[in-house]
Amino acid sequence: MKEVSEIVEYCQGLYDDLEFTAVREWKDAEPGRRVIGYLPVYVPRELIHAGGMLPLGILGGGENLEVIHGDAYYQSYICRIPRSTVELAVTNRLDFVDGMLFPSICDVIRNLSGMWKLMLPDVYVRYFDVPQNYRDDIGGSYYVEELKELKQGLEGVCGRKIGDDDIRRSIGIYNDNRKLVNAVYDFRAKQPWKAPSSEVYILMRAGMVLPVEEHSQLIQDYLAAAEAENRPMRDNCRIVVQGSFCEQPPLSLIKSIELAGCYIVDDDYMLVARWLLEDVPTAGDPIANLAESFIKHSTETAAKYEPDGSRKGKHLIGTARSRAAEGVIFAAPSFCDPALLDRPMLANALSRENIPHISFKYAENSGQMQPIREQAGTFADTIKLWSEA
Amino acid sequence: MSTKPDVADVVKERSMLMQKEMIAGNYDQLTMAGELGKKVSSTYVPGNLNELIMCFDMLNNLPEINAINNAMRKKSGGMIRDAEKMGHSEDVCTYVKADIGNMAKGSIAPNGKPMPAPDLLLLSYTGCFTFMKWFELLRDQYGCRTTMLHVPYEGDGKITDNMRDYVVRQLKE
Repeated sequence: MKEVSEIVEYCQGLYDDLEFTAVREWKDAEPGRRVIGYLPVYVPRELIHAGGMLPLGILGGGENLEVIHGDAYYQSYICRIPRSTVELAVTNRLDFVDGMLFPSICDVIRNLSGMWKLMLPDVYVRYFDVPQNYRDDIGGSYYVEELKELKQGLEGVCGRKIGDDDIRRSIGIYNDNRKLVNAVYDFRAKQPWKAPSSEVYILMRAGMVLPVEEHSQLIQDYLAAAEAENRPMRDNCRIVVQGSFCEQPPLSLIKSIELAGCYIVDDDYMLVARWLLEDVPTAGDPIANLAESFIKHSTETAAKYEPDGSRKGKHLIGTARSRAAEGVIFAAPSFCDPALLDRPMLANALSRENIPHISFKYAENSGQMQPIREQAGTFADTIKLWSEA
Repeated sequence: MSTKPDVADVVKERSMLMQKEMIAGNYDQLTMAGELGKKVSSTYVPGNLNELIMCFDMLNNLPEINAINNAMRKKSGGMIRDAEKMGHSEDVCTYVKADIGNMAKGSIAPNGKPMPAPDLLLLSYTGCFTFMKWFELLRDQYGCRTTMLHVPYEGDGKITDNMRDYVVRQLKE
C-alpha cells in the first residue's frame, strides 16, 4: 500500500509543474492523442474523454508563475487568472493543447475566449455557454443542442465521430470518479485530522491533469493510506470555504487557514469534479442525460442564476449543516464579480441562520499570509471561546 | 487664461437635446407613477424588451441610466461608499454599488423626487454576467418578482438557430 507522503509528493509535483510534463508525456505516448484545455467552472468532460482526448483543467498560473506578458493584456482592475493563463500561452507552456473551452463563468473568462481565438488561430476554441433557464423545455432543449455542437467541434479535433456508446462509457467512468471525489470530501468532513485540506486540495488538482482513470486510482490509494495513517485529532474549528471556484488560492493560503486552527470540511475549489450532484444515467440518450443532470442536479454557485430568491444561500446553509461546520470563510479572488457580488446575499442568509462568517480576498499569487492566519485564527477563537454551542 | 469653454458656448447635437428631453420625461413619468396608476419595470438598456413593457403600459426604470446620471452629477461617490458600508466589496462593479447606494438614499431621481420601487425586475441577461448578480441583489432588497431573459453570447460571432429558438421559448414563457 502506498504511503500518504508518497501520494502527496506525487500530487505536489503535478501541482508545481507549470510545463504540464505529465500531460505532454500522455500525449506523446501514442500518435494522434489530443488534449482539450478548459477553464473553471464546469465543462462536460465526459464528451472530451469519449473522443479519446485528455481534458486538462487550466486553473491559472498559481503562485510561482511570474506574469509579465499577461499583465499587458489587462487593465489593473481585472483578476489574475486571465493574466496568468495568457502568460502560460504566450510562453508556449500550452503549446501542446489542441482545443480550449471557456465556460460561462464571467465576462472576463468569456472575453478570454475571443482573445484566445486571436492569439492562437490554429487551436479549437469554444465559449461554452450554458442556460440560465432551468426548464426542461427551454434551457434543457437549448443545452442539448449546445452539447451537440460541442460534440461536433470535438470530433473535428479528435478526427473521428464520437458515438453514443463512447459517451455512455465515459459517463460511467466520470460517475465513478465523482463518487470517489465525494468519498474524499465525506472522509475529510468526518475525520478532518486524517485528511488535511492542503493534501485533499492537491489530490483534487491532480485530477485536473491526469487521465480520469488514473485519478480515480490515486484517490482510492489516498483514502486507504489516509485511513491507515495515525494522526492526532485537534480541537480545531470546522469551517466551509466559499467563493474560490474560479481563480484558485495559493496552497499556502489553505495551509494558513489550517495552521490558524481551522479544519476545512467543505469548499468550492474545483467544482468541475463535483458539479453534478447525482450520477448521470448510463442508459438512454447520453447527451440528453448529461443535459438533464445539468438542469436538474447541479450544484449551486455564483455562476448560476437563482430564479427563486427565497432559495438564495440555502445550498451553502445546507452544506454547513450537513458538514457540521461551525462557520463559513468567504475567500474570493480580488475583482471576482460573481463571488463578491454573491457574497452579501449569502452572508445575510448565514446571519439569519446564526452561522458565523468572515471574509477576505486573495490573488493566486498572494504572498503575505500573516493577515490570513490572524483573521482565520481570530475567527476560530471567537467560535471556540464564545459560541453557545 | 482658462482654456475650458464656457458651458454656454458648447453646441449640442440635436440628438443630445432630444435624448436629454426623453430621459427627463421618463424620470417625470417614473416619479409620478403612483398618480398615473402605472406599474414600473426595472430593466437594462441592452437586450431590453421595451415593446413588451409598453404593451402592458408599464414604465421603464433603467438602473444603468440612474447610475450614470448620478455619476455625471457627481452624486455616486457617496452612494458607492454607502453600498460598501453595507458589505459590498470595494473591487466590484460600481454601477451595481451606485444603484444599491441610491436605493439606500431613497432612490431620488434627477428631478429631486423619489422613484417608486419596481413592480417587476426584468433581467435581460445579454452577456454581462454582472447583470445577473445585480438583479439578484435588487430582488433581495425589493422582494419583488423577477423575470429573466437569457440571450446567449455569440462566441463565434454568429446567431445560431438554437440561440434564436432559446430566446423565443423564453419570450413565450
